Amino acid sequence: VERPVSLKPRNSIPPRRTADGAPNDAPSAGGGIATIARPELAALGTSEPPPRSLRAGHAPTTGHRRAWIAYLACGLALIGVHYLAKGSLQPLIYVFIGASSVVGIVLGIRWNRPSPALPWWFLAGAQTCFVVADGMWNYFQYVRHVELPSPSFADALYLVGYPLLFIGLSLMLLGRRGGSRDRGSMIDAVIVGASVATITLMLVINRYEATLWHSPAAAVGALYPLMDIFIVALMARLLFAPGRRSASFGFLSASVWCLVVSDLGYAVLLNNAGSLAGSLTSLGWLLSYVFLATAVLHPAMRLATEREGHRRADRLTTGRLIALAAVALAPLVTPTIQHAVGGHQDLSEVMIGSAAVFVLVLLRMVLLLRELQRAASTIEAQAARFRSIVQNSSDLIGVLDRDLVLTYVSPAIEHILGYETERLLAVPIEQLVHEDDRSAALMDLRTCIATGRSAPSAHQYRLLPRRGKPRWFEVVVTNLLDDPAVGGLVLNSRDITERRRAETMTRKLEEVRGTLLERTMKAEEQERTRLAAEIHDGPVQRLTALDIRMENALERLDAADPDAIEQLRRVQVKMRDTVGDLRHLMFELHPPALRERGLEAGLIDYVHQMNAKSALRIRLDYRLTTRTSSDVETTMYRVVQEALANVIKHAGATAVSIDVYDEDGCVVLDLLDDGIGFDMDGVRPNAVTGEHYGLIAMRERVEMAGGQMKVQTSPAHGTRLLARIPREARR
Amino acid sequence: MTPTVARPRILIAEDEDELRQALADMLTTHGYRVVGLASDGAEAVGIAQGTTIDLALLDYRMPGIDGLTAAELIRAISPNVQFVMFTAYDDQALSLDAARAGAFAFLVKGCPPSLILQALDAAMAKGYELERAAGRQASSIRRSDAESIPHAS
Repeated sequence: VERPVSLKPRNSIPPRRTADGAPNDAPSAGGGIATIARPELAALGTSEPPPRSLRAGHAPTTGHRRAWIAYLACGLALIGVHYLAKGSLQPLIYVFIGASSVVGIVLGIRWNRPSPALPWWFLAGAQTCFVVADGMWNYFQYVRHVELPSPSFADALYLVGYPLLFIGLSLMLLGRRGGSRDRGSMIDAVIVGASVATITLMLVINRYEATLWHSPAAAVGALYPLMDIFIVALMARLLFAPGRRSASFGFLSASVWCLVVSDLGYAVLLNNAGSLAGSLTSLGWLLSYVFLATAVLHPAMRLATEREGHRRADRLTTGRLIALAAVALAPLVTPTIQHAVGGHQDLSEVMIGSAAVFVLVLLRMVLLLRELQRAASTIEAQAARFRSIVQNSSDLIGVLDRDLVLTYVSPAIEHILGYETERLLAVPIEQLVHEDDRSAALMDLRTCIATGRSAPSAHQYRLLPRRGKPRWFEVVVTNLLDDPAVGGLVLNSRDITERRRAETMTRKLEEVRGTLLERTMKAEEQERTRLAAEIHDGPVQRLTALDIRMENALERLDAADPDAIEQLRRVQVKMRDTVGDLRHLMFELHPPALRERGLEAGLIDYVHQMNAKSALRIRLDYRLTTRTSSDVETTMYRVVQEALANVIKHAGATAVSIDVYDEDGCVVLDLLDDGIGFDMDGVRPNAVTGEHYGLIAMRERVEMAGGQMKVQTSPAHGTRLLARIPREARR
Repeated sequence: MTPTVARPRILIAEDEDELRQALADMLTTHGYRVVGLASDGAEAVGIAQGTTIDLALLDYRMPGIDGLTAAELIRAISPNVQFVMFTAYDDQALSLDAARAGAFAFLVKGCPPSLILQALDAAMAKGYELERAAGRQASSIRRSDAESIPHAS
């Protein structure tokens, strides 16, 4: 069986599973659903998902999917038989082939269920007209042995068939074209039509010239080539339009070309050669019939009216250009050949036709030029926009080549670094970098080139302005060496001198603050220690001495005046109370246990003292297992002191619990009382007047040690104080 | 040295002149023989080296060597010396340290002067016999004494 080369090889026919899941005879079948879909797509010559109609359950069965091969094979074989046959068998086979094509078309439409089906039904109608006319013609010619008059009923049927074919193809074009208006292709098609019309006019219609307006037969004879001109133009339009070039579409166009060429050939040869005409042109018609039915039977016919969105409609491809050139030259070449063979020639048709083709080509050029201009201005506008963005950016943008030499620098450099743009071109970048940062910068840039990574990387270098001190820049490097549009390293640099200065300042201030706070705390503790020593060495000692002296004196006075003695005893007691108060003050100022044995001993001592001194029940749960820095210990101790003093003074509490524990590298103090609480909102205003100075002082202490303090309270619900200080205090 | 000495020989170490003198006067009045008056720890140790003493009344906080260290040094010179600490620091840990060092009593300044005399009398009376149990005894006395000391509040 002869097979056209444009057809897909046999094994590309989609293997399908039957309903019971048994694999068919295709060698590649064996996978699941996924492998079913893929060859199906391959058969359609596309990687896009199959259209809904293909995926739906009513796709043709394996048998129907191959019907086109069987039909094509049988059809071609029958054509062969047709030429071998003798006598009345030949017209019978001819009509049979024609009838089979009509049946094939109808079956193809029913099996493949195209959507829309209307264009195909028009084609079916056209084919029916042709075949019925054939039948009539052959019947009269070979059965009745009567020459049909011209024009006859058969002519009428033939001439109805062409408009039907035209409508069918037009509907197909509408489907394939979609909404896109495509003036370029339209003009291309008209060029083809005009060229063919010129040739036809020269070769065929001229012959009827003398009788055209008097003989109906001549008029009808001239109508055929006229119809063909329209079909040719439409077919050209179809071929130029976007759309899938499936096997079915290939058969369809082959069919139309066979028909048109045979028609024109018949018209030409009928006048010149005669006998040979019949057999050659009938071959074209028969092929046209077989190809048309094959196109409709082919499963890919469902794609014939489908649009192909991504393909540009009016692309002037090389192939189209060659075709157009050939077509435009044809009207000029034809009379030359005619002249060479010594035939009749009338140059008026050639001139008219060539002029028309020339005007059309000119029109096409104008359209193309306008389109080019539009595209150019769009590109220009985009480029201008980007240029403007780059040039007006406050960032410095530079491009380096492989040797780290500047090939571009944005004009922002003029006010940022004071250089003129032109003077920096071809300058190695290292000349702009401060010498301390130079080696680092070169290393970074070379690494960027070597690794070839296009991801941007940020660095900080000092760049040298034309005048003045070096300025800090944050430089983002993007490797676009492989990008043909740039071909370099793009440096996007931002002046961060002020930012760095501010950061340094902030850091210094923070350091100073830390030092000051530490000094303040140390000074405070020293002052407390000094005060405690003063109290110890001064008032406590002296009052104790006075007490002892008075005791001595009282012993000597002995009963001389009981009232006086009693009064002096009372003074003595007051003195001792005062010594006690002073001792407590000393203790508060300078807790010896805290100093010598740390926070735990200090707090145990303090709680012991406070439990003895006040009515509060204080519970201490100390769970730190190791000591922390003395700063943290002192801070915690002082906070407990201050908090307990507050509780005693203001809270009216009966019990206090103190928990000290470790949590996430912090020392946590959790102090809870069952007192009356207070209104937190009232704390801040009063803080100024000193009412809650203690609270503020505590917070400051904790924050000084790098920690945080929280107070949770509300009237009548007690107060909870949470202080959290990192074990390694500050810095 | 025996506990039957008629007038116990006592060393007073106190850096505050007025208080030291007052204590000396009181103790002399009450039958003690003040054999040494020291204004710091080193001086007290020096006196103990050259003089036989039965008792020492030591302040804790003094310039140079503190009272407790001085007590340990004196103990090293004359093991039978009884000593009583007399300090302004009402510190549990310090009193425990004193007990461990063998102090007979730990008195806090601001206590009635009679308590000083009681503690010294008890230390003197029980001194020799209780020498070996001194630490424990002193501790128990100290505790009972401490409870009797009226705390300022």
